[in-house]
Amino acid sequence: MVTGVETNQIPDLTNPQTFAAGVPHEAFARLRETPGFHWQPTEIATANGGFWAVTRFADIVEIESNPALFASQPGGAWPSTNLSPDPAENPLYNNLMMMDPPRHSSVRRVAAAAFGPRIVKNFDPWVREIVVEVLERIEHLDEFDYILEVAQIIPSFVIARVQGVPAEDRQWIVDQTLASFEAMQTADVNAVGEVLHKTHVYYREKLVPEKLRNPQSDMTSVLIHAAERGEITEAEAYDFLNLLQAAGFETTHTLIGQSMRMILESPEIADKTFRGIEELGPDKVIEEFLRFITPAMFMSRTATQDTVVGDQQVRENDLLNLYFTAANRDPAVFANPDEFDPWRTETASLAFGSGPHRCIGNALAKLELRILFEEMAKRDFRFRLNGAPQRGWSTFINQIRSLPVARVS
Amino acid sequence: MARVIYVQPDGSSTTCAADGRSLMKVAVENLVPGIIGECGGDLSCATCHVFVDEAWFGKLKPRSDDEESLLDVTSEEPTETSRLSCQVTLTDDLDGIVVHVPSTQR
Ligand code: HEM
Ligand code: FES
Repeated sequence: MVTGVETNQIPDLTNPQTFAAGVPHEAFARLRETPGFHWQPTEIATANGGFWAVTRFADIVEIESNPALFASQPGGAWPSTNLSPDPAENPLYNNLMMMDPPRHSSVRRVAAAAFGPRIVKNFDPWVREIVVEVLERIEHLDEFDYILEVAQIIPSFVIARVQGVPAEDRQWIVDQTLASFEAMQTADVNAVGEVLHKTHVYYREKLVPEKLRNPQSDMTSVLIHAAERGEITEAEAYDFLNLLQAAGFETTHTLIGQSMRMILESPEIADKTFRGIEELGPDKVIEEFLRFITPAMFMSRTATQDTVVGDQQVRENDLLNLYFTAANRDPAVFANPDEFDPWRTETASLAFGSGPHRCIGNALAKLELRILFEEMAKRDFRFRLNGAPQRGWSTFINQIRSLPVARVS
Repeated sequence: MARVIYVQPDGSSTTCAADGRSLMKVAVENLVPGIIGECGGDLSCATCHVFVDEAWFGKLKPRSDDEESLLDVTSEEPTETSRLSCQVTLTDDLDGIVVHVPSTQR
């Protein structure tokens, strides 16, 4: 038995151990019920010695809708925070996630042109091709790791295609995505920097010249033409290509992996998934997986002046971590929030954030999971757990690193 | 004060009165379904798309180049009278303007 005092304590949100056994939803529930925000002390990447943990849905939406008061430039996700406003001292200065209007608006407009919902609908045939390729690879395997063979591969192939990487370089760029992911697990900044540098060189020396010679409808072509027209800078274009790998890989990998883990671990969730797809179509079921899993557990903003928000006095330069994972179970918005229920009628969740930075790849991420479900159903692929799933080691992503499965049909 | 009438795909409508603000802001403040305004009017999200009633369209200032290009990424195919509602300010001469909300922008 844990004593009352201990259960009332909020675990250290800066320690991956806190998330090792799962998202600490019980602690987040207590934070949501407590007026104001919880102060998490940390010297790492903060100006004022810690960050505020924001857990209520309405507070997060309010903060994200006001970039003048709650800025992204000092850093979009702790510990990539407390960054200098001087481009010479800030390696992330040209990263879309770390921009505020009007600079954010101009780069985002260019990127949005390649990611709008009507455009992403046309991605269906090639995303399906990728999914089918991946499923054909596992067709002959009786036992395998679903994370390595499916959850990681689909999003990395999809990003390579969005970037317009030619077929002969695809495996190379996928390896770079995986390598930077591995390096990030060890928090080895130099190793991450090295991988990113390699991909930068590749963009500059191979991909971009190729697209200049032979423009296509991919993201790289769109970006370099915008740079030629002076709508964005070349640095902004390169950093956006990198950002796609950082933002679109691990999150989608988590969605694909965790949704399969939930299906395999819980007959009730499996039943609701299959029935839900039949009765409601796949979109509502996928929305509910997104809410329940919330792959990116938070994003960060920095107060630009002293202000009061969510009944909390915050100071200039205070960092706020916006816990989407907590807000997505806010009973003020979702009835029976801890229940997996594709039939729920509430508004869309905060799995993709909100406001001007709301995930630009959201339609694509949902398309990937939908096509995967459809193609597995067509083949009547069924699995069972074949060992213990392993979570990742992260305060940021609701990661799953290993999901051993065996085919049952 | 000027009035604006937002018409939903099912024919139901909401009338709001305001002035000096954009049709997007007025819609969001009044919780009009289907007008999201994710970027807050910075012309970078295309989630505030409306079809302006033909009788009113000619009274509006023309679209900027940025608005023109962002209309390519709306959820629903734009028409001749499409506008991003964050770019239309509700002034007295627009009193009574009618706009239609697209069905897929949810
Ligand atoms: C399930 C999968 C995904 C999840 C859960 C997710 C989640 C998020 C979240 C929470 C944000 C920040 C929003 C905010 O600050 O409010 C974001 C931003 C972003 N995402 Fe995603 N994402 C996913 C997939 C993707 C994919 C597939 C791509 C592209 C290939 C992508 C590209 C981006 C980009 C470029 C941004 C930065 C947008 C900006 O700062 O304006 N994401 N995503
Ligand atoms: S509100 Fe984003 S473009 Fe109008």
